[in-house]
Amino acid sequence: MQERQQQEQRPISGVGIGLRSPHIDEILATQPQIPWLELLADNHMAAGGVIPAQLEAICDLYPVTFHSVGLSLGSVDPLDLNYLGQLKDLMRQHQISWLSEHLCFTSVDGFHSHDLLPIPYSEESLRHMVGRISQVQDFLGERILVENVSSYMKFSETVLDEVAFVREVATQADCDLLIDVNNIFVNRLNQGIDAEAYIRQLPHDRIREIHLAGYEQHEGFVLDAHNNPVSDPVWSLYQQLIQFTDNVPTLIEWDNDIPSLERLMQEAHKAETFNLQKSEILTYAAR
Amino acid sequence: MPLANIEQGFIESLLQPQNNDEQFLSQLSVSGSLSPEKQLSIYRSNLNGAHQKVLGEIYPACLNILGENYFHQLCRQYRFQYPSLHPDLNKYGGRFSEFLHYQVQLHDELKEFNYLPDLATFEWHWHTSHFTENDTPFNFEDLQQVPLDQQPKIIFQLSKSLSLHLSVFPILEIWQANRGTPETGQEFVLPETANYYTIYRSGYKTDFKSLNKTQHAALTAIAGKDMLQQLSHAFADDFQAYLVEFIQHGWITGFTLQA
Repeated sequence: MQERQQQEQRPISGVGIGLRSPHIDEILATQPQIPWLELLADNHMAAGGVIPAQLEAICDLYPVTFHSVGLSLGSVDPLDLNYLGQLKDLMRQHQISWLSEHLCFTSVDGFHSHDLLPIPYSEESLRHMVGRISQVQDFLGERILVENVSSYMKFSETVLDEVAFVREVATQADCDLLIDVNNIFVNRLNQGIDAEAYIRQLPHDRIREIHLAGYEQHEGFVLDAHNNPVSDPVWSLYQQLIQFTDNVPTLIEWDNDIPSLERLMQEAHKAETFNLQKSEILTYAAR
Repeated sequence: MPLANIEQGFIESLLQPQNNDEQFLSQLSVSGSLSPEKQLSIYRSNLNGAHQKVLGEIYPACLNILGENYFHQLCRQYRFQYPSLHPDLNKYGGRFSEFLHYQVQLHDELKEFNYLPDLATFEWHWHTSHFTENDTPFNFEDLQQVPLDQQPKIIFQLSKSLSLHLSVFPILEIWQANRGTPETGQEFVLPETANYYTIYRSGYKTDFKSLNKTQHAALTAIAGKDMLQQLSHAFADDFQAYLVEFIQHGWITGFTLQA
């Protein structure tokens, strides 16, 4: 398999936040102490105007990763090489540390849903996803991270457990993983997956980033709305996950009904506290 | 069933009004407490919500005038007729004016809002102006170096962000009155002549300006790549003053010479 050059441009460590447009001016003006930021790549691809200028300013100040949805990795449509080329150019220009995408599809037959649509966890899907990720990584010349998605759908074609699918994709495509703990919990509530077993069975050495987000309660199901604080059960799962990982960067992801920057940083501080507690326990145990 | 068929069935179920879902639903099984129908409805609801949100952000004045319920109903119909064809959501919604044109003709309750298509045109160009490529400032030194005998062949270039519009309705006043908290009961006077205006971006700020008929015609001619000779002939003494004004506003950003 072609060896991929790891082009981690700037160190990504600690607990970062997903930077969304309501906070951009404040971040640039006040330059708070945040270890790193994640940007939704699709929101920063304008040809001109204030957006490219803001992107440059943000990347000058902070280590940044890109999180995109437009690649539609799971789609049977050909990869959008024009879009991928734009991503690659932006990543090079601004020294973006890595790109993460999703184990799903967002478009097919040229129609875009702008939503993360699940695919069945079948052997065909696995082969297809592995091929697509390999194609993207070859184009970019580096590994990407792929994220587990929340899903409200159960396909008859599914033959693999979700965690087995995630594990096989990462191994066969030689890619890294972004594990969204809230998505695991949402799937537990909606589909009855064993969240604790899921966390144990992940290929922990391939986890390069962790997302934390909040869900929204509806009648009969929960929605991965990213519009609430991280819930207590998700914090509990996060604490379990970081027992298996070694200082993997964590991101607070809040996309809707966005609170103040101060509130986001409180969530980040809580995640930092859990990581610190783990370090202290390990230090104590080592004595 | 092959992955391609599953994905195509999924997208079709999302992008079409609710009918003929049976084949796709037969690919699903009960998940927790969610029936296949409920599973699909969650994604439909997500899609509606996302598209309503983006159209509401692009067309806030139309939203305020129509009210949230009616606007969202129109968004749903728009989504069925004009699904998104681009990964960039900022590029979605460009045919809303065209869509409204037919809705106004079809529905009696919209007859009093017959300015909506023109208002939507304004709001779309206001939106897209934010994202157009940056212009380089006009280079007067380059212009001064054009030999006298070549000057009639100058073709001016307009700012990439600039768009030109005309309407029989007072669109600027309607937009300004409704883009924020709508002013109820405000009446607008239909102008005696058409409104001409331009939308453009200066630096990072999008702006608009009313034009008179001649200015609009001159800018239209420039957009059509008329040479300086043609412009001077068509607009006589006015053109020199217009040229200075257009360059000062950043509406003219460069030039080439006709080969």
